[in-house]
Amino acid sequence: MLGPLRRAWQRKVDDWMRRHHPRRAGPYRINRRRIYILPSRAGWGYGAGALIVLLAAMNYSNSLGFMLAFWMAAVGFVAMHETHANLLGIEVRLGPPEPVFAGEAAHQPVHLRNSSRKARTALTISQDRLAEVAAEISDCDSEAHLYLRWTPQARGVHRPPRFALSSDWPLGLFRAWSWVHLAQDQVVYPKPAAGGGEPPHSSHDPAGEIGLERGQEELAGLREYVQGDNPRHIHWRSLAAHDQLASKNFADPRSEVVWLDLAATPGHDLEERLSLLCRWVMALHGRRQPFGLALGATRIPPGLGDGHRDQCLEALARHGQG
Amino acid sequence: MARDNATEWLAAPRIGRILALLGLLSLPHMLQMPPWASAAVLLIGAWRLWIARRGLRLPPLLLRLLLAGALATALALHYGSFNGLEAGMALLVAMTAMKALETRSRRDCRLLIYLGFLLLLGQVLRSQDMPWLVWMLLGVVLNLAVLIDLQHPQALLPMRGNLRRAGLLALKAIPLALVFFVLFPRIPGPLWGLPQEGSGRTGLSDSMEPGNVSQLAQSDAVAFRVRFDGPAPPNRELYWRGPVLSRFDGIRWDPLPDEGGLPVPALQTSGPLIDYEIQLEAHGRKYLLALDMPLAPLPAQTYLNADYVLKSRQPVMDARLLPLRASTRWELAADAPRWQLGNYRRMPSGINPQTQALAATWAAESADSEAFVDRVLRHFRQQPYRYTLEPPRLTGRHRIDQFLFETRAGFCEHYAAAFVVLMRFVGLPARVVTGYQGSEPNGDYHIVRQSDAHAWAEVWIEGRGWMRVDPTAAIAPERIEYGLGAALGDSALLPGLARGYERRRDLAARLLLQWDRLDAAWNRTVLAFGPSLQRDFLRRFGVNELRDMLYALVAAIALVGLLLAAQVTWAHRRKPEADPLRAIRERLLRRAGIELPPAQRGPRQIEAALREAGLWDADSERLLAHYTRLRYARREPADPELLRGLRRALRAWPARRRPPRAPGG
Repeated sequence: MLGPLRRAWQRKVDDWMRRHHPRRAGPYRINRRRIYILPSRAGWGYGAGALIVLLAAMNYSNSLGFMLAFWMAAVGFVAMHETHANLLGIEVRLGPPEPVFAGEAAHQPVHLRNSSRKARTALTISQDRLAEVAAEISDCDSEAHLYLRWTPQARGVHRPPRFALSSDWPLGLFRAWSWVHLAQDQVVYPKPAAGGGEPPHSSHDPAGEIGLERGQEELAGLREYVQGDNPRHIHWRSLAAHDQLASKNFADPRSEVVWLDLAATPGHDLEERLSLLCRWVMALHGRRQPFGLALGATRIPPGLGDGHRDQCLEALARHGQG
Repeated sequence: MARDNATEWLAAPRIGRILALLGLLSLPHMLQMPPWASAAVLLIGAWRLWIARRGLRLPPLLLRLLLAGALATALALHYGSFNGLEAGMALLVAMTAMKALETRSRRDCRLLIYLGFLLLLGQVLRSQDMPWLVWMLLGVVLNLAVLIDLQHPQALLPMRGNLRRAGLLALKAIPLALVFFVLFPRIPGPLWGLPQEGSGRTGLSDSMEPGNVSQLAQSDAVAFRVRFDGPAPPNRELYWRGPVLSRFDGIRWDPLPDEGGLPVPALQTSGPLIDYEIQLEAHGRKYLLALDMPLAPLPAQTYLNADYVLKSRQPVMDARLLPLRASTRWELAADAPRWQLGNYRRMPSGINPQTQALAATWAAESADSEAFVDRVLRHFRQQPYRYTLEPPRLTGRHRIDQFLFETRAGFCEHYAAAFVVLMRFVGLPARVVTGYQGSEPNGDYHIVRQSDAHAWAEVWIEGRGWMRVDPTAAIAPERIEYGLGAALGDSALLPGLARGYERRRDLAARLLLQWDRLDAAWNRTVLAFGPSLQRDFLRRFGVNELRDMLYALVAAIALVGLLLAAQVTWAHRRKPEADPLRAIRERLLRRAGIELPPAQRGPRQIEAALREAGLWDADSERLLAHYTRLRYARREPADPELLRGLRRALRAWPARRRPPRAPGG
């Protein structure tokens, strides 16, 4: 029965939030006007306790009882200021996040900077200001680094949701929070399809262009040394750097290059195809098989290695998103 | 028992701190509780700690409920009900222990600490002596320190830091608390019924049975303090009038009800008026004490009843200041019609026949009423009557007979009662007056202790009215002149401070008297700060009405808020920049109103930002060049002369001289 009402209310709140807390680009400095503060549940309990003391003091006309009640109230008042001060002046920035697959938890780095003399204690970030369980918590003498955990559901380039930086230090009687709504691109790869078969063996370049010149051996990456590898293929520099033997891995474009083409990928809709392509990209990368990717006009020439994989995944993520 | 995840957060040290706190705050209560209850509470606390140490599961709900029920029932049986303060506190302590036994979450811990505040409240309700103020201050700081301890969800904070923070917080709260204390409108209590009048407090009771007063006299607690405006009258004139007892059932003496409808009798006084102020300790009853006899004007909310006892309309639940006037030469109800005196002649029939016979013999010998009174006093003086705190117990129906003819040993109440009975047997109106007699000077005031409790008699004589007769003066005149200590010598039953005032001028006694002065000041200023004192105090500052009081309160809160905000601003000062060049750079950016991410504050980026802001001109170019030169001079530290120059240039640099102008504008 209350459902529609609650939804209407929620809409109102959302509208208000959009108007008052638009997404900002730069670093976000928490000034006095950006802090909200309310008594927490524990604070109401404390208030009730002080009231009991006050009533008892009134009933028995007990001066020390009055003192206790008034002192409790005054402590609450001071604690409110301290809680507020614990947030005041903190500068929030977002760092570049690691890309994730859709449906996986993204960890958005949040950098806090405190340039004042006052050390900050027990700062929490959470998507819901009332979250009892701290998502992340930190003290902040001058710098602190936290992660905002959120889960983007669709591929693409998303921005992290609005979150609250909050604190109930020192007594937990009040909760102060500030809405942080900052711009930072989060690349979300398509969710790799669960099934859908093996990548195609097509070495056919859909546009007729040749990615790698014939006959040329391409260094495609490094792998762990296995006994019997050609000593000429040992990558000596990595021995020096990592104290570990690695062999150079050569792609042989003539026989093994695979072209992944969106147009040739089966699937009901674009997202399904992209998911499947994502799965294939991961599979080919795992097999160290060079591959190229064609997404309509976007073409990524065949290659190998982490950089190549990430480039392809990002292309999948951004495909069709302007 | 298996390990319990929920108790993991609440590791042994954390719950240990809370239990230690609660144990400390319960200590004064446990000393008052029956020993088995204190032992049970301690055991439960130890059990909880053991559970935390071993990481065990908390006891099941059913067991906890049974235990709580058993404890509550046992306490109810012991105290009879939970109405009194002691019973209530015992229940609070027991239930706090039970709560500790089920504590697993942060919320539970918080509740325990809130209970700690109530334990403090219970103690100050029991006694408001100055040491308990210190106890309360300490208790609040400890409570806050443990509350802070709960607040950091990750680490167990070092207790020393918690205490420092809590102390600072409590200290900052004191000004506001004082503002509240002075300005918060006080309502005359009580808000709800007081179930037990006078419970747990020492003082004269409203009735008298042989033994009451002598028991009271064994306490050297302060009953009240007196400050005379002029010189103090001599000790033998200091009869502090309390309850007047006229109804006698053979054992017990009770006052006549105030609602009897008898008029307040006429009082004639002669001699000087004595103005004084009584600072009365709370005794939980409605009678007040006044120097025999009180005169108008009476303090607010008080009245005189037909027995000329000064009474309060509300039980005296807090220390009170009573400005009073008296005269020690008086004549009361000289022209009272005989029908008004019936109550003072009534006797239960058929008891004390020997006394009756004795009274009849003396009456026949005496010419008039006054001669009869003298005859009785002569009897007390001449026969071997003893004045003692430990008279033999009187039993049976004929107690006055037993006292007068067999035991012949008693305290003031025995003599007063016997005297009144003798008077009544010959038809003379008489009554027992209880109160205090004497005082002890201390600085500019006098102390009247419970050991000064006394009972005497009044007899009504045709043409003279009520006359005070103190039979004790006949048996032990030293009592009236010098006090109980002089009359009894160093009886072991006498409280230390009641032994002859003149004889104990040792250091300890002097220190105690010094302390009493402090205590008196505390009582006058703080404990007596109720509705009336608040009104008087605020009137001095022109705050008369409730509305003004509230305005003042709001203004004071706002002022404290502003001060706190100022303090926050001060605490939030920028950290001093260790690197002078960086400080200069930051100042430059601030003045230009440019925000750059910390990693992008190189000269190039600053230049770009200045250009973008429309602030790029010859001045800023020179300034930035100067800065860049120093920044990359590879000389540590930078040349102070050049730094000064740079600072000067920055001061002279008018960042906002030319706001960016729209082309063609």
